[in-house]
Amino acid sequence: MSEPRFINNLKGTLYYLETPLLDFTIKNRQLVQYNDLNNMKLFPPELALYGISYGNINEFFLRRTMEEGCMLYKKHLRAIGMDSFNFDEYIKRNNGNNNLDNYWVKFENYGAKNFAMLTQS
Amino acid sequence: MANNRNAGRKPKINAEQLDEIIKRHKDGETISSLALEAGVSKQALSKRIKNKNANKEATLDYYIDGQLCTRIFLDTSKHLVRIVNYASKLSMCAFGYLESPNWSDLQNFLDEYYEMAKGIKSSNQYIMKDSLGNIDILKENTIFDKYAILSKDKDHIPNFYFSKKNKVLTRTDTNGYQLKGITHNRRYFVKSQAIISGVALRDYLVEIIASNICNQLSIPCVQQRQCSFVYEGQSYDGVYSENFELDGYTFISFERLLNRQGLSTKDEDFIALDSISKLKWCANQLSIIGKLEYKETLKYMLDLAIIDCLVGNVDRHTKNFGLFFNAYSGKYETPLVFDNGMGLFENDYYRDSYNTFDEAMRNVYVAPYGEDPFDMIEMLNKEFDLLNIYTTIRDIKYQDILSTEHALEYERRMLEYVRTKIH
Repeated sequence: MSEPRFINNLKGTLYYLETPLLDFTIKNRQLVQYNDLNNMKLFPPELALYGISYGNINEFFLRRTMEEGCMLYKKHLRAIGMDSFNFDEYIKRNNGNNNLDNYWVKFENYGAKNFAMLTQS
Repeated sequence: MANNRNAGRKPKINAEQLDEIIKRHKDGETISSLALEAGVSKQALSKRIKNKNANKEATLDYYIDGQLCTRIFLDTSKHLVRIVNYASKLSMCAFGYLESPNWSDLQNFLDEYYEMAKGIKSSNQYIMKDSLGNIDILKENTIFDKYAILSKDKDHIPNFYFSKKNKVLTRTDTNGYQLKGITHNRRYFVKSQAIISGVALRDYLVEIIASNICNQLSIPCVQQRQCSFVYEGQSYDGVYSENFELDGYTFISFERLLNRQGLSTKDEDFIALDSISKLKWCANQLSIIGKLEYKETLKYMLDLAIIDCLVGNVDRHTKNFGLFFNAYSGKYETPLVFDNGMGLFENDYYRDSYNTFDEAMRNVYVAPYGEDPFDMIEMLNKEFDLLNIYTTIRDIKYQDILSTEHALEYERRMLEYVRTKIH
C-alpha cells in the first residue's frame, strides 16, 4: 500500500499555458493564502467544481502524480533527480506539471518561468 | 547603408529575366550555359540567384484532412517564422500551444514530417509534397515555394524515441504494464505494448482493431495508430494517439468521480445488481455527477460494453472509463472511448499455452459486469435493440493484423453470433 501524500509547504502560481489562475500559499498542510486571478476560468475540475481548498489543491496534484508501484516509478523519480518520494519536492521539480496536460506552477525562485520553458526541460 | 536613389551600375539581367533563368536552371540547364547566354560570369549569376532566393519569403500551408489548419510564413535568410492558426483546437495547429514558434521549432516540426515520409534517411533533408502530390527533396536552407504539407501518411510506422532523461509520463489512475510517453510537442500520447512476466503482448494490435471497429460503428474513440516506442536503445511495438489533454480535456475516472460521492462499485448494493442494471447505474451516476443527459451517458456506457464484447476486452475497470472535464467550458462531457487493448487474449501472457478456445475463454469476461462477452451482447441486444443504435453492427470487419489461432476464432464466432442474434 503506497504512503498517503500531503503537500506540506508550497507557494506558487498555478497556470494554464500562459494564463495565471491562482496564487496560493500552503504552510504546514494548510492553505493560508490564495488569490483567484482568472475568475475560476480554466481551473482544473477539482477547483472549478469543488472550490479552492487545501484538500482540493492536494487532490489536484495527487491525481497527476505517478503512483508508487507503477512501471518505471523509480526510474521516473531518478529522472527528476530524486532518490525517494517527497511530495513537495516532486511538485517543485516538475513545476507542478505532469508532462501531459497544460497546468503548471510557477515558483518564485525555481524552475520554468513560462510553459515553453517547461516543455523544453 | 540604404541605396534610396538606386545608385550604381544597373544589372545586366532584370528581375523577369532572372526568374526565367532560375526556372530554366530548375529544368536542368547549367549555370555555366545560362551565364554565357546572359553575358555574365558564372560567379555573378550564382550570386544573383542566391541573393534572389535569400530574400524570398516562403509560405507553408499545413493541412489536416483537407482543412487548412496553419499557414506558416518563413524568411529563410533571417530565420524568422510567423504563423496564422485557422484551427480552433491546439492539437490541430502545426505548432500546438506555441503561438510564436522560432526557427528551431520549425525544424522540429519539419523533422516530424520528415520522419513520417517514405524512404529518405539522410539528415538535413525535408520532404514536402506540393499541392499536386509531387515530392521534392529539399536541402536545409533551400528556398521552397508554396507547399502543402499533407497530413501524416497513414501507412507509415513512426519511431518515437525516449531516454531515461525524459520524464516518463505520470499517471495515478493506472499501474499498467506499458511504457508511456508524450512527444516533445505534446501532440501525441505514445504507449508501448504491455510486457507481463517477461512476455511481450500484442495489445497494441487490439487497440488498433478496436479503434477501427469503433469507426465502423460511429463510436467516438481515440484513434490509435501503430508506432515503435524506443526506450534506452530497445524498441517496442506500440500505438500513438492525439493527446486530448492538449485541447484542454482532463480525464477523470469513474472511480475518482464515485469516491467524491462516497460511492463505490465494491458496495454490496452494486454487486447484487444484474449486468444491465449495473450498466444503467453507472450511466445514471455519470449523468448526475456530470450534469449530463442520461441518454448521453447511457449511450457512452453502451458503447464501452459493445466494443468490449466485440474484442473481448477484460480491462474495463472503473479507472478506464469516466468523464472528460473541458477546461474551456468548465463542464463535464462524455469522453472518447479509449484503452481497449486488453482483448483478443492479449491480456493473458499464458495465451499461447491453452489447448482449446474454450480453455482460453475461461478468463474472458466483460468488466465491470463479470459477464461472458457472448452472453453480454445478447443481453444488450434484448434490452436496447442494438441494430437500431448500431446500424452497421452486422457488417463489421476485423482488421487482419492479429492472426493468433484463438483471436481468429474469437472474431469468427463473434461475427457469426452478431449476424445470427442481432436482427
